[in-house]
Amino acid sequence: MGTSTSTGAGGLELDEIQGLLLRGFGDCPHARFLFLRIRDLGAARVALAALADELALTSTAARLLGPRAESRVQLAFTARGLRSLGLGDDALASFPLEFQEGIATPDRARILGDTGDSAPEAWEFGGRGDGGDGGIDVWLGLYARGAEPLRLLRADWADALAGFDVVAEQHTIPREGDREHFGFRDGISQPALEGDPAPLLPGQDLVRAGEFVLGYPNQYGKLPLSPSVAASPASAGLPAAAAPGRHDLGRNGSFLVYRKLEQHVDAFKTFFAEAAERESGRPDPALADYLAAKCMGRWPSGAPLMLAPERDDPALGADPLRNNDFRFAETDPRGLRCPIASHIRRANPRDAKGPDPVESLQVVQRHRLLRRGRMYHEASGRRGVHFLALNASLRRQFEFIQQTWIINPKFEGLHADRDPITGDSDPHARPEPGREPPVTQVTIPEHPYRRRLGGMPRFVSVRAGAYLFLPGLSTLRWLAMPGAR
Amino acid sequence: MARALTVVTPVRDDRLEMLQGVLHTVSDEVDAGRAPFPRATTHFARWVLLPRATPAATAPVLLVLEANHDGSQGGWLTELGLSAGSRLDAIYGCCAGWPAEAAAQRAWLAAHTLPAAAFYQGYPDHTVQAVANDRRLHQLAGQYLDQLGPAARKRSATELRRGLREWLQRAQEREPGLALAPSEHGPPTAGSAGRIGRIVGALLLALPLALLALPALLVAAPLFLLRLRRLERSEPPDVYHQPVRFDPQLTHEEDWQTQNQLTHLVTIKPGRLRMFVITNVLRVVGLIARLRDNVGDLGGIPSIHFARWVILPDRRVLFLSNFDGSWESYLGDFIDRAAKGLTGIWSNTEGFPRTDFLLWKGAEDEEAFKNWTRKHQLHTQVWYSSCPDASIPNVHGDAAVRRGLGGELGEVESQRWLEEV
Repeated sequence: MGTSTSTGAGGLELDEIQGLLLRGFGDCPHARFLFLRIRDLGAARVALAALADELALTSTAARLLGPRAESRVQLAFTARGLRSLGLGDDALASFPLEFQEGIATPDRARILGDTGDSAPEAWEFGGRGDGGDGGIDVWLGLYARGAEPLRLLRADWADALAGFDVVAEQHTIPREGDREHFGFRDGISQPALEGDPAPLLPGQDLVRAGEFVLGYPNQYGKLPLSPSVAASPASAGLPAAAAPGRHDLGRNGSFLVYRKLEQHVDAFKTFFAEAAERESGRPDPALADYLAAKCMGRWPSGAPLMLAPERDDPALGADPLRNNDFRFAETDPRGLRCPIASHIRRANPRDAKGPDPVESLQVVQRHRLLRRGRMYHEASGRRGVHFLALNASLRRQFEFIQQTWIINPKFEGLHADRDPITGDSDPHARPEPGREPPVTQVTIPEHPYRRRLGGMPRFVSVRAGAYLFLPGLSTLRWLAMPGAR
Repeated sequence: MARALTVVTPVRDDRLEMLQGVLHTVSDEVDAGRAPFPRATTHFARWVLLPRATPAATAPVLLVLEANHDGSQGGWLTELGLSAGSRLDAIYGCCAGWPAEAAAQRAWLAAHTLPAAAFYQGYPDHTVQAVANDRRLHQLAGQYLDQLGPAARKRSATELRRGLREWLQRAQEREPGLALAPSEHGPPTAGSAGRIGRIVGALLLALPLALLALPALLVAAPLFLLRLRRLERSEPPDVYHQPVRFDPQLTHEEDWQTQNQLTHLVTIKPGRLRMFVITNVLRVVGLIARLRDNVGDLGGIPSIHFARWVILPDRRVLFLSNFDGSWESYLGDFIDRAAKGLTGIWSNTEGFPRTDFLLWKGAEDEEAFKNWTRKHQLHTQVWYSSCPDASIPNVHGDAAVRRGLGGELGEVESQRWLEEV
């Protein structure tokens, strides 16, 4: 702690914060994600200490603002991982309940819409197999400038990782032209972290650091609850916690959501092509594009419907100074331009949550995420995105957005509409008589009367997941130390 | 306008376990569509067990029946006797003093009612039957639009509306119970204008009295604030350095449908001042709720169907709520939109996050307030909703569709109306 010198404008301890909180490592388009289980505790701690040194050298937020690096590493832990590293019940109980329980409990699967083919029972890893706790201890993110440096980086660490079982090794592909697999420009709307020296883009929200990094004031002007450990000589290097007689584990850390989301690209394209053909009585690609754009809220180029209601505008879509500079409430309160049910309006309602635009902007800023995902395309042909999102409160941010905005059939006065892109089509009601049926339709407001697309299957399925704690550097080093916790 | 019924009865110690079993069975029956409550007049209802007032004492466990119902209290209790049948005996036979005769039973339940210190309803002009009727009507209207071919997009809104009305009139021939106009829902309810008029009248009457009391108030107010401030500094708030461990049953029973419920019970802080303050704050909240209840939100919270606070004789305050969406979203609304009002109420109860001058801070401490709420939240044994799929905006949207069927509308108004369908 005492060596921390770099602080950003917002007082952020940049030397302590893992770089992923500040940037998505755009200078390292090649990445690989390792999900590890500790086999030999001593060897694992040695490896973690070495990785912490590497992280301090190349991959903290402070280093990110410096010269370009060949490669970067990031580390995060599940509750199971913290326990494996020797954290006792007392320390674990100071972590948020949702983190302690993990992403794959039955109640959580229900509220997140992880049902049917996306149920944790069926996940490739991190689900309810593996003894019920996901079987994962550590997430290791390896990032490099090129494919070859990434291969070398992985090889360099192969021996050091001998104390771990590799539960899953997930490859990624660089994003071409910023398009995700359905063909839309992605990653446009991201909040800016207060204290980040980069200039704010038009339409970008400036959000207080405590919404993403523990140890700083959040949008309520409060310090988030932070996990802690009973003070001992071993924890003397950690800052004092709010509770007397304890040391803080959370400071400069964050919670990381990982979800492997498979995208059913063929089903997506077919659905809109067929919907257009049904309407026109012949193949009608223009109408198919229009319907898909209505569902997304943006055209493929990224041009928002709010600014380009009639047709795509590639110049607008590619322009970061314009493509996110819009609101909903005044121009489009009823969704005639950008449907209420569309994906971008659910994921970030901006000024249109509730009747008061000013209040809406304030409230919405309490439910934002930093998205740091990467795409994948496997040899089997399966493709999708490794969704990575950072927040200070899994419950108030990630879970809230997913449950109350994304998959909520009643979002903002809707009657029974799903999210057309990432929505779940499975019943999340008890399958007893009288319960609500699965919601598979989307309403597109128009004059003289609305369109309604029905019978939508899932276009995105969940294949793996984990709730992780991404610690600050001091806590990371403390976790890697030999001896009792 | 719906009514709030709260029946609080003492459970016999030797029958507690049996009662838990019966309530469990009834809960399963509700889930299976066989609720024991009068279908035609019950919006929401629940049975919930309250723990003893102090664990060590001999105070009994209490059984609470909450109902939000149309019509008179006596009428509803009579209907309950019919709809619940033997279930009523099975449940209340576990309570002390349950009489054998049906007529005496009704009187016994009535004698065990407690008044709501404050009561809010999200749509006072809609009976249970009106909600269901408008929902069905909207569904049928939607079906009309769904079956139109692409050519219909060239029609005018007026034309479409005419076609829709004919479609619904034909549907009415098949479903004679279906009402297309508000007057067909039985006796008209008191309009909101009349209600507001009565409340304004009461306020006007109260005004001269308030003026008379003003000198006394000027003397009392500083003393009151001083005393309150001293209490606020000395009463220990709960301090949360880590998340509260609460009954996992709470999250297990949440989020199965559009609506959720909450039962919350906490002891009022010691002293006469706290009792005085909470009683009067609830009185004001109740008055505001009645003034605003035609607007469809309570203190800016758009998601409450029915909510009430009840002060129990043992100094505990019970909060029962029926709302849309998740617990997290509901509590977020509390904090984002109604923190002062809720702080004014609950700062008079034990462990509430520290406040300044009754209304400030308190619920604004997001994590402390949520932890405190979970700490005092109770598992609800039986919960019934007549229309679990209807959010409050849905209720109003369905009604707007029905209202727009009457009379003649111009092209622009027809277009605006069709946006609702």
